[in-house]
Amino acid sequence: MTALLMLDLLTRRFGGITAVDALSMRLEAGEIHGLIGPNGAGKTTTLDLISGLTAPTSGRMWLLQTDVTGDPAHRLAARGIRRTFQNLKLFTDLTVLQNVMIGLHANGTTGVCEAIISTPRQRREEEMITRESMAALATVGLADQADRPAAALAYGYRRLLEIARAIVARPILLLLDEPAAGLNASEAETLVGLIRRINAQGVTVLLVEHHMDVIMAACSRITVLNYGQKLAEGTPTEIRSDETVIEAYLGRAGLEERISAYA
Amino acid sequence: MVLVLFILVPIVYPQEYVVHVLGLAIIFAIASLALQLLLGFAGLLSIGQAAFLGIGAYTSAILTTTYKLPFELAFLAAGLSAGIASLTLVPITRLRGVYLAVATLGFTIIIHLVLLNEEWLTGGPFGILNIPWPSLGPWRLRGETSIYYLCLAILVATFIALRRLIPSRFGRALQAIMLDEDAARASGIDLTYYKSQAFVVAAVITGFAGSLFAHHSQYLNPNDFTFWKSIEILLMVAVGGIGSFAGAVTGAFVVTLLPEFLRAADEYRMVIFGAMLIVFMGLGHRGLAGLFSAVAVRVLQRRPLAEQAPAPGLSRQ
Repeated sequence: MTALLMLDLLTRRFGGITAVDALSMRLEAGEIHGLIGPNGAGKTTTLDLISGLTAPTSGRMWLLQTDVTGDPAHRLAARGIRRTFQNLKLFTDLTVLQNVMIGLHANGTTGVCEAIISTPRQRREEEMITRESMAALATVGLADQADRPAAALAYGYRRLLEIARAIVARPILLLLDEPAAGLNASEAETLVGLIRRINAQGVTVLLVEHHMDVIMAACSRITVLNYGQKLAEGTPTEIRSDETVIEAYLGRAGLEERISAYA
Repeated sequence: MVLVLFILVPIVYPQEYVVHVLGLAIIFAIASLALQLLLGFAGLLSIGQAAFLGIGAYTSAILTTTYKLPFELAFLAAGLSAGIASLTLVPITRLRGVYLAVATLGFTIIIHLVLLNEEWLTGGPFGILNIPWPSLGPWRLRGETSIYYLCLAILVATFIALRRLIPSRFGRALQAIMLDEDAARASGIDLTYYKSQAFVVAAVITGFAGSLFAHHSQYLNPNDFTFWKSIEILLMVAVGGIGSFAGAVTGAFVVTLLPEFLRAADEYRMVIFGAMLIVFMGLGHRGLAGLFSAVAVRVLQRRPLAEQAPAPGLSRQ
């Protein structure tokens, strides 16, 4: 297997707090990798580092053997790293379709003058962007909502819209930050199906999630963080039986309860 | 329909004064359209627009007086020089909100001082006199009416250009930045590049407006381009309604013409003008454009506003 993404001793400090502490990690191409840990373990900061929204204090990061340490977010996005946000960052004043179209920004080339003159090339590009965006909306099941304002969507639909915006540009790595937060059991089940379908199209997924049933159902490997450090890594079965993980994160009773609920 | 009205005005009211003031309002409408792009669609609060207006005006005036260049060239050079000048703002595009506003305010103050003190170039406090009427190819546009129509044509072109820009890749990038910077970055948008480009586009348009201003007044004075002018342009956008191009044009007319209408009130006119601004702003940040659309919705639906949005207390009964 080839490593899609490699983190080497990646560290991020905020003042006196070390949010991510010397994290080394490998994402294999084509896997769905879970990233779990208690609140404040550094999961979201890890996603911020990988997506370039935060620059690392030290350490290195490689994407497909290219050193991309410290690259800004827009360049990493153009290289194929896309993400969703835990607290939903939609362009709420725009329509659902326009939100997704913005995800294709890096795939377009036309600028101010071409838009003003409305050249044939510009119109073709707009048609392409609209077509691809509608296809992404269809993938997540929001095609019939295309012309509604994003702010008018129900909560679960907003989560799906973020995913559509992230996958429309056919990324190689998709970072999902708690996509199941606030969803009910059947919505979460649909979400797992969606993540699997996206993964089947060749998208490697890094999934941060508190819903253990979603993690256990979707992931082939899991990394556990605690206080910014890697606590454990392995298959769902290994993680379930890992003593340190159970102590630090799940609590014995909690884990058994969750597993029995899922099984 | 509105355009027909604009075209008819000089025919119905051929008084030079009326046409002159309306021409001035049209020029400011162009400038406020440019600020609307920045403020209403990129969330960039600029109090530096008078500087670009001044740079455009002086470029055009100097090229047509000292260097005797034709108006068409001077007009293009005005947009170009304002656009190039705006590149000096690239380092401050990372600032937000009030900080950006204050930095652009500083830019206006500097440009005003340059216009005031570089006498060899700008004529200093005496300004530039005898700026020629504009020419278009073989035609020389003499008189208030012909320059009025020239300004109107540029206004319409600017309006159409900006309306096309908003639903484009560029326009979407600006709106994305305005609505959520992190999500815009994660979607592949380079913030500094697009904010800078927004400033350049707005500066070029404002430079064009400055050129028209120079040839419309035929006289330039540095005091036309103090930070007060920047504030006035901001007022036009705010009164008209942030986020609406039609609102920016309306706002420019209100802010330019209202003090003229209030001339009868003599020394109280600025007091009344100030009070009206407060009332306009009290209507909410959507300004006149928001007011018109709210009224239109009410008229079209033919029912009182209270029925559309019942108060929480009433709906519980």
